[in-house]
Amino acid sequence: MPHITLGRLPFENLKRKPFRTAALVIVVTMLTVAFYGGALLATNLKTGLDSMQERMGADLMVVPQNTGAKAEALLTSGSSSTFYFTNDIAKLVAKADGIGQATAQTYISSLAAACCDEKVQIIGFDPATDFVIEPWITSQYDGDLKNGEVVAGANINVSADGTIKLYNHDFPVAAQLASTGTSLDNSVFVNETTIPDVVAYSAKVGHAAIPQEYADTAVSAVLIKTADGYDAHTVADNIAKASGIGTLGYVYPGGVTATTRANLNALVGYAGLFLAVFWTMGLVVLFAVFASSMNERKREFAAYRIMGATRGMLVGLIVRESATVGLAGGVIGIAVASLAILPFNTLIGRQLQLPYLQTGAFTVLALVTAGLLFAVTTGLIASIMTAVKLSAPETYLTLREGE
Amino acid sequence: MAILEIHDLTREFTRRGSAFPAVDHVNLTIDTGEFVAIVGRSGNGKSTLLNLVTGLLSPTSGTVRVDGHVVGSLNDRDMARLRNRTIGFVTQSATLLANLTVLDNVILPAVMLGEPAADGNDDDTPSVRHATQDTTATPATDPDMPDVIAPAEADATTEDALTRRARTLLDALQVSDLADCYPKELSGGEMRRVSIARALMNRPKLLIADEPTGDLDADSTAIVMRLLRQTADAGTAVLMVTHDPDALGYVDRTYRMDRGVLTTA
Repeated sequence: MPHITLGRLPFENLKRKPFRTAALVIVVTMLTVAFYGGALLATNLKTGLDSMQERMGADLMVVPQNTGAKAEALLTSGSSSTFYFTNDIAKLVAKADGIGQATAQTYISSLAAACCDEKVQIIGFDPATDFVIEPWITSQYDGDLKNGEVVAGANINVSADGTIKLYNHDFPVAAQLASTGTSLDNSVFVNETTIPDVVAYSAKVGHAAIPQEYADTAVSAVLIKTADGYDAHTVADNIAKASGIGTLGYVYPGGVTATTRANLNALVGYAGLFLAVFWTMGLVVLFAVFASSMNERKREFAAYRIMGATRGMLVGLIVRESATVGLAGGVIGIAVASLAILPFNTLIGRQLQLPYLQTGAFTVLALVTAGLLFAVTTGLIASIMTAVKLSAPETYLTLREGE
Repeated sequence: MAILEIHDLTREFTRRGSAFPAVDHVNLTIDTGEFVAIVGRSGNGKSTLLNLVTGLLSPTSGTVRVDGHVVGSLNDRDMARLRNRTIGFVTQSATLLANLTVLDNVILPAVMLGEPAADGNDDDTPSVRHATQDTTATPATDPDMPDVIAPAEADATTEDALTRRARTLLDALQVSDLADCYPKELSGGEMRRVSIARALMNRPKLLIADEPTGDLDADSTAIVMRLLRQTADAGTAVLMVTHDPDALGYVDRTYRMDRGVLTTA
């Protein structure tokens, strides 16, 4: 075995104190998991929210009475649902003043039963008037969506033969979309003209999604882009007046986004506060471990001085020891947090009930770098005071203190 | 030639609010190759004096000059270099590093400043004889072999120069069989002998030994004292503090220290 070198000295010191080293590495690991994991989750939530905002092309959604919450859940990350108007709401809405664009959508929730591969949100849209879904689909699928075909969201399990079974009918999947981090990932999209077929298939399995008499006309929501100079709330008032229906439900997607963002910011704020407290506690623990080992190491450091080490060498020795501990804890912490978060995006998004979208590889790499820097810096901060104290000018006094 | 010159050296400490001199206006000169002992009761300033000489403690007044350098006027880097290259120090308490083997403990001073201080040539180390060949010599080449087929390096499997010197020193102190042990596995006497080997590793001009035979039996004391005597005979100045009357038979001069004052014994 090669003889000792100054460069190998910190590693020998760490190796020969396995319990102390392991304790320090565990503390840094925990701090890194909290820091890097928290940052990754917050970033993914923000990315999800941004994605949701991009998908919200409408200023106003007109929905049936008492279905506002369901519609909001559909926009964020709630469970799928079925609701519809029984009148020709699209025509009534069109009469109102201040409408720039309007398009109707129909929402049907499939069943979690043998007839269906999975419970999904079926969204029927009108390609001719749509300004919300169509541009998004077009950006990823350049063909025309034919009657009877579906476009699947990112989380939909498409069979090997390129179909999805809903109400005992195999729908050909024309394309599958990229992830958005919203409930749209659990949706399938069909032409408005396919909706009566879907209703018919559902009736066949004994669970009619919509009564047969409304199958051709049922509309779940009218999405509106207001004309220039019109406020969404004013347009909602105009719709109420024009339609003569005072009990319509209104959802303001911009408001939903703003509310979700405010909730998210509050969540991130609390998480940041928790992290700061946790980090301070961790730093105190690390500092205590370093300080408690100081007495034990006084004689060791006096020995280095006797052998001709400069004060800079002693500080360098402790710094390299703590940086090694920080790096080891950082790498383990990042690996643990990555394994706990990255493969389970869908599950995390579902549990959080918030838009959640895995951020890009570049951002993850930046977070990994920041996490490692954080871990190493934490180790250095905790040890620097000990290093300075141990390299006091009058080594003999340090040696006597250590006896 | 004087390797150590102490002039009017004083170091005061404070006890219960009042200052007292642990070392009181001490003057001492030691030449190259001289072996000097200081005796005296515990707590009379002997160890303090040695630590002032090595610069591990700062004087209240007076000067210490080692190999022409005034200790205390040097910056940290130069003082560290002086301590590493010129002074060897055997401390009173055990200062072996617990995380290193005995062998690495002895080698460490030689690698402390980056470039090796010892070259493995032990001819100047008294009572130390090693039979190994000089592996740094250029191996003989075979003129019949093409350049690309060089003979196997003779020293590829042998120890490097620093390891060889460290082992030789340990051998001289009869602890070479402990080379791969850690300090916690050693007795007090064994630790003391390893400390002496470490202090000699860089061939110091001035060897300072604080009770080097403190934990040793009569046989071990004789081994250590013979080695220190031979070290002095080879040109190293040796300054030793001791309580051991047996050790005094090996020295050139003896001083007594009483309440910080140094007098000829």
